[in-house]
Amino acid sequence: MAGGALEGGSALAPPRLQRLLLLPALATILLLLVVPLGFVLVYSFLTPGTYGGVVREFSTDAYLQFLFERDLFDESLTFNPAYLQIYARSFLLAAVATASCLLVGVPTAYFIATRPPSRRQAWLLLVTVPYWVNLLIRTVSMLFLIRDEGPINAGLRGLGLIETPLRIAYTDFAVGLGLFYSYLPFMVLPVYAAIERFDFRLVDAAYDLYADRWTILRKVVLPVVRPGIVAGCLLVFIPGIGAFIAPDLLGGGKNLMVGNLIALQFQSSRNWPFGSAAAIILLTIVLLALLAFVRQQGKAHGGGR
Amino acid sequence: MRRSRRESAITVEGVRKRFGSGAQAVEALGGVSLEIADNAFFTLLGPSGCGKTTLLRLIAGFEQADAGRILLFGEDIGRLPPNRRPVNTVFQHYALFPHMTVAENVAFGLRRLGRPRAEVEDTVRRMLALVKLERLADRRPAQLSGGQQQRVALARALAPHPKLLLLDEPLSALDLKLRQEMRVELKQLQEETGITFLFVTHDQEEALTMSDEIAVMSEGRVQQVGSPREIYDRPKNRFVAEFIGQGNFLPVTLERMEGGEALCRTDFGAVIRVAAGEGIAAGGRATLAIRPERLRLVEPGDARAVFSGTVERLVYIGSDTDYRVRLDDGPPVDVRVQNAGGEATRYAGGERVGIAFDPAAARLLPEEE
Ligand SMILES: Nc1ncnc2c1ncn2[C@@H]1O[C@H](COP(=O)(O)OP(=O)(O)O)[C@@H](O)[C@H]1O
Ligand SMILES: [Mg+2]
Repeated sequence: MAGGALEGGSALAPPRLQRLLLLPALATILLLLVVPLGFVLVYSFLTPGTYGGVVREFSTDAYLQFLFERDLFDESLTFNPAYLQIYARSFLLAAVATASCLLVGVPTAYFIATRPPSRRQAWLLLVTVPYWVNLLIRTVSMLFLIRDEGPINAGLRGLGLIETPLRIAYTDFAVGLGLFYSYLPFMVLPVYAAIERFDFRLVDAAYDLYADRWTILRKVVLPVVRPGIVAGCLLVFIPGIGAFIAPDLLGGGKNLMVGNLIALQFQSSRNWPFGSAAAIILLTIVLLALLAFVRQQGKAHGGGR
Repeated sequence: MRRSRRESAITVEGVRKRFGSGAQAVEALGGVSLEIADNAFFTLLGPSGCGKTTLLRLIAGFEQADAGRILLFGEDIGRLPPNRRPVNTVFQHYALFPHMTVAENVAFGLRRLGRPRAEVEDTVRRMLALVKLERLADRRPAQLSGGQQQRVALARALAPHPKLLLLDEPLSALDLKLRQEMRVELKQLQEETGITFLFVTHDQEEALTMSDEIAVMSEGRVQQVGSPREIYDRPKNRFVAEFIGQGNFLPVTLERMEGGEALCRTDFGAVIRVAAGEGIAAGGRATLAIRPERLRLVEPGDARAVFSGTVERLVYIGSDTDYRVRLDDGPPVDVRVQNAGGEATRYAGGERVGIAFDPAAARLLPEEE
């Protein structure tokens, strides 16, 4: 199959030319990702300037600051878990958002993928509708909905179900909800693609070979569509960890996530090295987690038993 | 017949199945009854769309019949879901599990039945040996050729030792050479395992070479059931005669009945005496069917000649030569002559010839309304 695709492509463009096709993307990545990331890495080992920016003086303070607090007088270091907690919260919120997206996104994707082909496009278009509106505006309108004086609380009070407003806005719950809502289509689309390609004759085959419905789902459907589910989870989880708008607006800037922490360092705190270090640490953790995940997937894939 | 006293593995009684409703309804099966002997290689033969897959799906349990009963060794299985029927299927496009190895595919049914691990491993090994795939046990289906995938599908369906194996055009995706090899292998597999095979095909040659018994289907109905010989030599109606092999069909008027024989006159005036079958009565119309290989070419004035005509064309096809002869005042007929002696190409295009045949080789088919 891969061979066929290669041959088909070479009819249109010879292999040497095909490599050129990748050039614009490579240039973009180099210029806009690798180079800036290099700067971030370098900045994280420099000393903060008084009014932002950096002074060219090597220092590991940014990384020390992540775990320890330096006493102003005697320069002694004491352990400070505050930043670690922000990372932990970010992971937790992103994980909860991913799980919620799975819960809602997989049935949705299944529904769309099992419609007649002529209808699927319309359903997919509906899934992307939220993206026609700017994320900031969507998040703000969500805030209006859930704040103490918002329609949800007003409605509940009107029904006499509560007396004091339900605290939704400016909680971790609100942030999780925001993340879930922002990234849901990223779950639906790859899962849809996987289910759409799924050969439902396999279900017949398994049913014929004495499997019950639950076993068919577990042993046949899920393993085959797993790449789509994994892709969806990564597409929600990774941007979810670094999310900035949802925690800023819905968390009220109190319950920081990594994204806010980093943003703060480049804005009011004017500690560019620490912001850079926080970004590098996040990147490292995500990459390590991905690596572990890929390894584990590779192992788990051996077992169709 | 050797099946006469054997137990029936599966009995299909008056099964009907309709898809859709209202104006768009399609009657896939219009009252099908069949009896398949235990340990038989039974073939459902019919053109595409005649309802073969539907019948298999009903027997496997994927569809429910609108009417009729399906009995497996006397037990009504019509209400059981597929996973409760001791019937396995080799699907038309194999439907192998892509994420499992060959061995895991074959073990799937056994595991679901909760067989002990040692037994599963042993059976898988035996099945893979049976289909000659021992060395590919750890491959994934995507790494196999079409023929190998086919064998995996067979091994997977045979492994739980079902009481009935359903095969839905399993050879249709293979190339000719492989298909011919697999015919022999399938037949051997059936004999070795002692499992009843219900094999579906639209290829008459496949049906004739492999089957103990054939049911010819058309438009959701069984047209005829019989051994390959019966189906070929004594087709019951024009559909069967035309679908199986080639044939010449001459409309005739029945002049007189004499014992078991009918004296009939073709529309172009020739008079022939042939054995009469069911539904044949004097005065009526019928179709005289005769296979090309049952016709012989003789010299124009030969006393044995029943018809005479002119050679229109001839095609040399290796083992045989196919002649087309236009009968005097009549339609053209096909004659197949074996290239055993020198006579096969004795007549050239445009030459006059006589056509002789043994009346016993001809069939009178009742006129269809
Ligand atoms: N699920 C279905 N829905 C509607 N029509 C169907 C369905 N399955 C089969 N049919 C129709 O029933 C008839 C018989 O089909 P099938 O059993 O697949 O024939 P075969 O296997 O002999 O080619 C066809 O006209 C087909 O279009
Ligand atoms: Mg079919």
